[in-house]
Amino acid sequence: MSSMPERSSRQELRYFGAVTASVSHELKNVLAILNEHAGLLQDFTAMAEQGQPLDVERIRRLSATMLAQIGRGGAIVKRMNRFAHSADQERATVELGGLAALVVELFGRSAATRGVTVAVRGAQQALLIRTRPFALETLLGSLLDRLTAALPGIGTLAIELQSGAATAQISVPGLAQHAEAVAVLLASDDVKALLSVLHANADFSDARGALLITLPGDIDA
Amino acid sequence: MKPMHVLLVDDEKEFVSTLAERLALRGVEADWVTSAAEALRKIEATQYDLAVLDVKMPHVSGIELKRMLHTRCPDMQFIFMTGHGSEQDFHAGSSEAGAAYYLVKPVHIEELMRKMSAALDQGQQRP
Repeated sequence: MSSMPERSSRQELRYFGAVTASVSHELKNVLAILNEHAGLLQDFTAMAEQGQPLDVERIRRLSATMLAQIGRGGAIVKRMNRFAHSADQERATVELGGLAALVVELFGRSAATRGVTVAVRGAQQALLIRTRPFALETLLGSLLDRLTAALPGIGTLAIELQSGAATAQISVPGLAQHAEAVAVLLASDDVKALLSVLHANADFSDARGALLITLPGDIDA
Repeated sequence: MKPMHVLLVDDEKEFVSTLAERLALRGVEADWVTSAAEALRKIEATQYDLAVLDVKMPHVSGIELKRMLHTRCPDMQFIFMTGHGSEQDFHAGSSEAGAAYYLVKPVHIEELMRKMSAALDQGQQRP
């Protein structure tokens, strides 16, 4: 039987693989669009060489789309780069809102495939905590993945962030009808392992109909 | 190239609309939609020889859509495209369509044209 840290590490690796696969898929789509647009420009050039007039407005629109797709590709790579570097340090001080937003952005394509919208409702001020950034991203990403898979048609999920006395709280409200699914999720050994290495607790609040995760403000304290 | 009427389905509008335009320049009558729901509506009004489907789409995957289309149009041929290139996707796509009719994005249009021709030929050979 593997220890909690070992199980957590496996989860983190699995999550890294899943995110990389999703990002590569998105990049392939960008390349596919650029490929078709470049191909169409070649088609138009060949037609022009045979004496057909060039539609300048059409070419302007094609190049505008290509530039937009290059921008989209750049944003995808930037997200991937931030994500990859979040594994640089085992423990670091992070801004929780930024970290949650990154996880939600990385989950964007899977969310769209499942017809789910995920939003981060941040604290008013920057919420800084010292934690294991990559393990926390894995926990949030895994919870989003499992929740949206277990609750098809849920529509919208929100992640709310709050600061407490020497703690930070992440809540996912709107789950009053799904307490059982959340209980199954929290009973999973993989989730327990991630919570353990983060020194965090997770619970379901009947009163709020929400999944609550409480993290220490400083994992080393 | 034999005359054919093709339905392209992919949730990336900029991709699928441009692919349709390039096929049209090559003499292929190609309509495009960006979802399974639109594809199912489209086949109510139009008869297609072949559908080119993205494997990963929101709500209904290309694999599921192929099954739905096949039930309604048993003579329709299918080609899958994917941006993923994963083993899992490859096996799902190739076992549904046959490995010969599976393309990884970015798609080479001449290869797509060859596969469309081959898929139609195979369809016509069926009793």
